[in-house]
Amino acid sequence: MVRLFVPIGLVVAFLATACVGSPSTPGNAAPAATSAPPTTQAASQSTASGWTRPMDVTPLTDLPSAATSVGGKAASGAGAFQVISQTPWPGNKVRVFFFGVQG
Amino acid sequence: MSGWDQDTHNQDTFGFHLVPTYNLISATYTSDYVDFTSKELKAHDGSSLQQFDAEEQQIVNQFDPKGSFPFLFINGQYARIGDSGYSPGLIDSMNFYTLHTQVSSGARTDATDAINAEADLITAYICHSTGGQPATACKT
Repeated sequence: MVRLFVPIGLVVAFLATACVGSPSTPGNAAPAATSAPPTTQAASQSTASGWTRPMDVTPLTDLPSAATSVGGKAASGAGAFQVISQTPWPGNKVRVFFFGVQG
Repeated sequence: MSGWDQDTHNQDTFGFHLVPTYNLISATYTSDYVDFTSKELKAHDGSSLQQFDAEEQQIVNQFDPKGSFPFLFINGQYARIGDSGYSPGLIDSMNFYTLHTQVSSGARTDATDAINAEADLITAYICHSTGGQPATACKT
């Protein structure tokens, strides 16, 4: 089923991984999200927090492994993700990007 | 994430009445682990709204050359293209804040179960990509 809008589950997931823990009151003025350009790919890259992004992860290929791997939570069949590459996108953080239309 | 707003898609799109969703046009997301951006290419009236930056265009050219949407890209390794995790019918005609409260409070309905399943799947992919960090979000 085609859906045009921002997946609510995506926002719910991000609330867990964000530094800013709680959503603002809707209507708050805030600067638009910006993205950093790709950086040089390396074996691993560190952030200011000391965390080092692993650049050697291979993609999960089945949902059961997603449910049992490090950090994985149970996934009950939602979504139809494809594995599009064996190689992580470059950068010092995990890149997530969404696009759609307001329709 | 801050600065988000509520939205609905246009009435009766694809046979659904009014489906609640987030508007992330003015949202800001900060994380030590994830670099997230989103773009809405067209407004409700069909006019152009946002444009890709160079990196986003590179991602789309490489992984979604037909420009199918919705498009969700995680770590360069996973993508969901032109599809969604559950039917909009599950949340059709629901008030945004009612649904938001249900999800936030842990209420169990068919809609919140679907939303949480989608969130868990996305979280699993992100957590696998970060090596299990942040632990507070990635613990089972």
